[in-house]
Amino acid sequence: MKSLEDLKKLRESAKRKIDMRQGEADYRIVVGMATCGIAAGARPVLNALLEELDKNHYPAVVTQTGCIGMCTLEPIVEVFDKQGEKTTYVLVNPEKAREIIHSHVGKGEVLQKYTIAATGK
Amino acid sequence: MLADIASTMLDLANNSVRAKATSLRIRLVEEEDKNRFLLWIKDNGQGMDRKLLEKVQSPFFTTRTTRKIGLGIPFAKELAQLCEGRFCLKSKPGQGTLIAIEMKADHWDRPPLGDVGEALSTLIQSAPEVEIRFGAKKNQKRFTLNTTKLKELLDGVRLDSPDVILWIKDYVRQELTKIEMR
Repeated sequence: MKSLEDLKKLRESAKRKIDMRQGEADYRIVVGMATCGIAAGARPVLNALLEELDKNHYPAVVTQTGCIGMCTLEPIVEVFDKQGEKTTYVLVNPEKAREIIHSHVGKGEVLQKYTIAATGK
Repeated sequence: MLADIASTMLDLANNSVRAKATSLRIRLVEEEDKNRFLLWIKDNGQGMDRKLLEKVQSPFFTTRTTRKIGLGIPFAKELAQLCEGRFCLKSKPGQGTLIAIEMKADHWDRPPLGDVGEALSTLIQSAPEVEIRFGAKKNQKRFTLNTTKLKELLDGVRLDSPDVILWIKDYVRQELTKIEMR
């Protein structure tokens, strides 16, 4: 059971986490959430990203954007590193999203097989 | 048409966020005695004039520059018509926009409710600064969620931090099950 009381507990643990976490996030993750993204399943993808980041306490922030312009390749997840380098993952589903988090954000290794380059488009 | 009502709700609410709304009210109402299902969204965003209001109902128009078609509002209109309901889109420049889709609740083409918890948490994650007041009503039972109140409870902790967003998702799912909205 979730209650508003839980939220107060979350608040206390979040405050502690903020104290522990110094410096900025290493990665910025952007999910396309326009009509095309939603239709292709971007919502569960976003949810999987948040769950994995939360579980592992990885240093990343997740934001949403509108249509990235390649609707047939949605759901699209863009990962920006601290230098601003962008990796574009396409046709992502919740399972791939979890893999991407572990490999790219967790170990710093780009997961080539899910990138836009691998589709040949 | 999108796969479920939750997705339609998120898609339309995203329009409000893009229209720079600072306050957004969303309602889901199911009345079994009247065989009616309603999705209602009202914002205080920049609004549209009459000319634009007509254009947005066409699939061959969008304000975006990434592509030339926009399907959100046409999908919503199609949904209402398909389910023998009513579609309402009212707007005034500088005042905001109201969009409402009424459907026959038991109509063949009425999509399932979908995951409203996930849709709402996704919306809040994308726009934590917007005040979102969500209300669901099934017959006489109600559930409401107000992000301003959540922020007060959180006392400085970010509304869009992952654990809070995940909590919102589960909480909304649970409370909607309690009022038997599914």
